[in-house]
Amino acid sequence: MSRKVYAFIVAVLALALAGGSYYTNADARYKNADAPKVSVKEKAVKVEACYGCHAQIKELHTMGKHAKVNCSNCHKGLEKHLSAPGPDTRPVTDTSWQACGQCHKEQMESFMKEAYHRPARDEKSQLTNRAPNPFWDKLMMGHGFTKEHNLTRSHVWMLVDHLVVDRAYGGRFQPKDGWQYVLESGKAWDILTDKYPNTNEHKPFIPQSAAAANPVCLQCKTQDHILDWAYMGDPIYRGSPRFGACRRELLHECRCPVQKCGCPKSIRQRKGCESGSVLWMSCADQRAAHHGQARKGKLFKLP
Amino acid sequence: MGKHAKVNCSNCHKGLEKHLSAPGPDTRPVTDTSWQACGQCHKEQMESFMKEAYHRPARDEKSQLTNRAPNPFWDKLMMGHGFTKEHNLTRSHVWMLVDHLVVDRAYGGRFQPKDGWQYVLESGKAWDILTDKYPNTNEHKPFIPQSAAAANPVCLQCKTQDHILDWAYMGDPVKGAKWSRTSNVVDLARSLQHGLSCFTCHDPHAAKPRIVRDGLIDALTRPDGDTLWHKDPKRTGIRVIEMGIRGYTRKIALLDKYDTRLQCGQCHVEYNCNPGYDPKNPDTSKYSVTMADRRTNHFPYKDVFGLYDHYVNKVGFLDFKHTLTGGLLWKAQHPESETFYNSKHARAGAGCDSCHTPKMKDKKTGKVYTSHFAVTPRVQLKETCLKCHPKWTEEQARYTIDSIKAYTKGKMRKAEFWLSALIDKIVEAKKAGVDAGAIKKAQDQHLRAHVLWEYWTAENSDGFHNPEMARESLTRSVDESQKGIKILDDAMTAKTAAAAK
Ligand code: HEC
Ligand code: HEC
Ligand code: HEC
Repeated sequence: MSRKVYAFIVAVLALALAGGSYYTNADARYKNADAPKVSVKEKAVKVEACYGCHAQIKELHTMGKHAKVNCSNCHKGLEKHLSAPGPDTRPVTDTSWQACGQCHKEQMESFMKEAYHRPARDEKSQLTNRAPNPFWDKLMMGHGFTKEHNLTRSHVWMLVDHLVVDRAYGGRFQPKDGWQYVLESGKAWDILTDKYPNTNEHKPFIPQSAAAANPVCLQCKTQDHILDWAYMGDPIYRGSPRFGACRRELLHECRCPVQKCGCPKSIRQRKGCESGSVLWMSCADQRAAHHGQARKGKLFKLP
Repeated sequence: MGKHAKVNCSNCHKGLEKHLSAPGPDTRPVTDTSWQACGQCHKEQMESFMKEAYHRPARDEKSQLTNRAPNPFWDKLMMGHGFTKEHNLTRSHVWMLVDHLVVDRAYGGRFQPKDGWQYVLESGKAWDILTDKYPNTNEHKPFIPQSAAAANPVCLQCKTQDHILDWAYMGDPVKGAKWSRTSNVVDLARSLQHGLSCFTCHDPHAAKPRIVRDGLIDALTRPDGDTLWHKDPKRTGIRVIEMGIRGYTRKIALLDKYDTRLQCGQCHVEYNCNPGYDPKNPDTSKYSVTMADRRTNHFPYKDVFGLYDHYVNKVGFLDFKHTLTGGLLWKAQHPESETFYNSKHARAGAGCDSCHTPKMKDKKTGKVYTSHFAVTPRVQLKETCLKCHPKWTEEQARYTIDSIKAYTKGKMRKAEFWLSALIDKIVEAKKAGVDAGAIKKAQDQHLRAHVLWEYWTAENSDGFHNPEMARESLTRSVDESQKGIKILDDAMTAKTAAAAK
């Protein structure tokens, strides 16, 4: 790829990021997952068809007790994916508890149980608690945990509890139903609402709150975003280097209509591959880049 | 007009023959103010009223480290105020007069139980249970170490109405009225027997809901209409009636319907009942507002956010002088009604009664009656919370209550931490000779922060009655304290810099 095109795409990428398109896409992903369950069950697939391109999965899938559990139990939209495999047809991965719970009922039901032996938001700096005042607020003066610091609750509540705690998002996320939320469990956004949907500014909105949450905090709250997060959360945009190496052969699979118009090989076999980083683009992106149009690129840094 | 139309006068008044033979002040019939006067016909109501709650102890001192206003904060933040002598969680209504009379801060320890600590189980007339250790004097002073003589005639307005006929409107010391705001409170106390009289909330003649507490009637009839009730478009109508056959005015107000925010709000409110200081008067060496002043019988009937302005700018009253800072501060009484008034539960149509005195079915007769056993819903969850939240278990209801309390208590502890830091800062700045203007500003910040906090140590729900208000108030208290600290930090830095030049 010419330096000019590369620079252009990097610029576009930067713009797209500044505009928060990363988040927009992440949202779209969850919206998909949240869409009302289609009653038609995903059809089972021939795993061999998948193994061809997903060698790593083959190794993992065949080694354990899930060898006979079909991909379709956890991944949806496979037909479309198979018809034109690529980032635009990524199967949806069901990250819900129910994905596993459909077969592991006891495990899921026990997981969903809630402990009532102590209350929600059991502030540790109460004088009867683990880090009582006056010590806590004095010894930790200046730290966000002085805003609210609670004993743990059951796992099923942990994402919600992180989102509502006064120190994390400045009070922007609040329960829809007021305090009754302490008994509600399920998807976080069925329970909570964002009081400031028109801004993603991360700051205190209510008195004596803090906006101390960071993307890394969330790694211990959920793995819903497992596929969207690179190793160590390094800022490598548009996903993780899931294909590990430069996958020229995958590009050949692209039934890019542009190829017919003579889409040059130079785009597919980029210099970047050799230098250890590669610009990974969908067929549509390739076409657009080739024709000099603005498109979002996907930059993968290879280890 | 009411359901008592056929109940004869003789059920409640005695000595009628003598009275009829020569009507006049000398033959006044005796009015029976006992619980039994009503209970002879309203058995379930009286029996439930007489019930006692044992879910927590008597004299459950709030400044215990496990309690609502724990030390070391309480005694520091309230230094100089009588409530540092003894400050307890509430007990059942039937005990309330006795509990007021024995508490160490009220009568200096002169009133003691006859039977020692067994009194915590005894209920009935106050003077069957208690004795006056100093019957030969009515001097109102501390008799035992670390006690206070902080009770006033106005305090007693919320303990009993035994003396209803002897008390003129607002407790003004008018001719013919036996008791007034300026009476000797020991004498008044000795004459009283029954905690919470039935006729405080029920008009004995009309058998309709009413209020008799003059401070509340006064607030509801304030010409500028500034209370929560005035601002409520759906407020319950009241009809104030001036009584006073004895030659001085008493007032009662009939309610268009039962409204517990007003009926319970006769006592479960912030009110002032003691002498204190007019903040506009620079001389704080002695009280500038004495019991002769009507400000000593005053109900704001506003929520916490209106109180600083109400007391400082409108009424001109503050309760006490803080020992360490020298600044004037305020002491709350139990503002449950104002807290609850616009809460989520209130907006949903719940009243105090929904959770504290619910409808009950008599186990034997199957008759449904209103329980008059005012107690926490925790001991009657099925009849209260679960009525509106049918999907919950009792455990879940309790869990929800405890969650709100745990969260709010955390905020209280933080508010106290910062108030304590501000007090230290004021003391430090005074020592450093910081100019009086900065100190005064910081003391004003202290008062603002103090009001936003202390309200919640007096309010008896740890935030449950209105969690949103509690959070807002307590966190704003921290903000106000921090502003005060900053004022003094800046002043001290400037002073050090000036000295270095
Ligand atoms: C012809 C090769 C090919 C075949 C066959 C194929 N895939 Fe893929 N698959 C891909 C490519 C390329 C991607 C990566 C797209 C990207 O960059 O995100 C992918 C990504 C995925 C992903 C990840 C989705 C995500 O959100 O990142 C899943 C899951 C998946 N494939 C499942 C399957 C299953 C199940 C089958 C068999 C029914 C299958 N694939 C068959 C090429 C293939
Ligand atoms: C029991 C549920 C389940 C089954 C069955 C399953 N997957 Fe997955 N798959 C997941 C989850 C969850 C992820 C998210 C990543 C992870 O967990 O490591 C994932 C991720 C993937 C990825 C992305 C891997 C990467 O490198 O990022 C591919 C490709 C994939 N699955 C293919 C398949 C194929 C092909 C099959 C069938 C042979 C299959 N999966 C069966 C749950 C499942
Ligand atoms: C379509 C049904 C199905 C789904 C969906 C499914 N599993 Fe399984 N799982 C199985 C079966 C069948 C076994 C083997 C049971 C056995 O051998 O006793 C198994 C076994 C396992 C085991 C091994 C248990 C052991 O005793 O060694 C684990 C762990 C497991 N599953 C986890 C998961 C998780 C996590 C998910 C969701 C991401 C999931 N399963 C989704 C059917 C399913």
